[in-house]
Amino acid sequence: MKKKITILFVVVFAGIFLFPVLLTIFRSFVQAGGAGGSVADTGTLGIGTASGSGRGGFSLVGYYDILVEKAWFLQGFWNSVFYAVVITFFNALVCIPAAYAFHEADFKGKGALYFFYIILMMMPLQVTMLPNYIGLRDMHLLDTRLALVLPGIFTPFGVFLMSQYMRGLDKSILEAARLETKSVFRIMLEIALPQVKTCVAALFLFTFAENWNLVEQPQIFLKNEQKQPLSVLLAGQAGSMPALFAGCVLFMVPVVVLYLYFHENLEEGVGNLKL
Amino acid sequence: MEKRKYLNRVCVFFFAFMLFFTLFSGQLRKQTTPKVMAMRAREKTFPVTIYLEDGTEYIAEKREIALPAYALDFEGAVGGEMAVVFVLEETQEGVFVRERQVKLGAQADGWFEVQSGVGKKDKVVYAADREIADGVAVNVGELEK
Repeated sequence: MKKKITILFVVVFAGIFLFPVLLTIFRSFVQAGGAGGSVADTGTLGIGTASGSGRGGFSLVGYYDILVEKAWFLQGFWNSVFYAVVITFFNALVCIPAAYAFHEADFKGKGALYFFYIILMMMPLQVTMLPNYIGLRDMHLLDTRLALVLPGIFTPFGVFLMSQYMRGLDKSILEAARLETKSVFRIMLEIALPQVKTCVAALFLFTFAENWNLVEQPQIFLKNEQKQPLSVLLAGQAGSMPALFAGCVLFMVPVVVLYLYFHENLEEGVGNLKL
Repeated sequence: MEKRKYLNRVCVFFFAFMLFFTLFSGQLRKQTTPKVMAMRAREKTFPVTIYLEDGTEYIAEKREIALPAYALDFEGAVGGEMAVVFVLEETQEGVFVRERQVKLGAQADGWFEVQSGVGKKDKVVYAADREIADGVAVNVGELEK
């Protein structure tokens, strides 16, 4: 009985969380009317237009519209790919050595510095936005792609995640490696990194998803629409209902695929965190 | 391992799909959007009959904005003196057609006086290679002077 209730709860909650996604997919294949049909004139959720007045029915018009008619969509898509891939890659390049340094090096003020990192990580985005804006303005980087890339690379979350995971590293193996070579970089790459690869996968996934969904930063740091990521453009563009839903479905695909690709690593990586 | 192989294929297919549309969406748009010919409303002279109190009739002329009958659609019109036209709307995203109801007046030589609904600067569609509807993106052919 208890198991049945648990299953019922799980199903209900899964349904609640999946509903917007399923609705988005469903609506992307339903024709909402003429080409002039907009979000505003299609009703609350758009359900119910599937019958009567010649509207509704399966249609790929939304996908055609967003991929062929709306030039901004593909431009925004590749902008998002650029920001997410570049930031994820360079973020890993910064975070892994920084976390390894926190784990291995002994220096004065290490604890305070780590505490400062955690405090910085806890800060709401809106608090760090203003100093970032001033810094970027003074460096004349506003309205350039670097305005999103640079703050994205140096986020403290990756360092925190990696250094917490590295607490579980086998010290005896690292000490044995030190007898073999003096190169810290080589020990990190050849000994430490293979042991934390599940966490690196989790870091990739988190960073990619976070930067794929950027909204506030591009709105503030970028004025040029040509450089805006899809997350901003999708929210701000007018268009037919099926086209916008089709855009949302295509926008979801990379993150969903990446999650499916790395979800085992993610569960293992986060599950083994030494908090 | 099998799952990863499958996901790799999905990834490659998805990005190839997006790349294809990035490279060829312009050409696809050209092939699939309706081609239309448009013109500006012109000033035409229409005969006007003036009736005086003593019963005399005078035939005079007036110059008004006019459109040819082939640019007007009477089927979707509301009311007997009304017709529907499609006017071009140029935006950053491209050229679209917008449906408008126009009020017609006098008629002469296949041209109708337009009393309201279209201005002198509006470009009105007079021919299309397929059916068009309000809000549809179009390619515009040569504009008739």
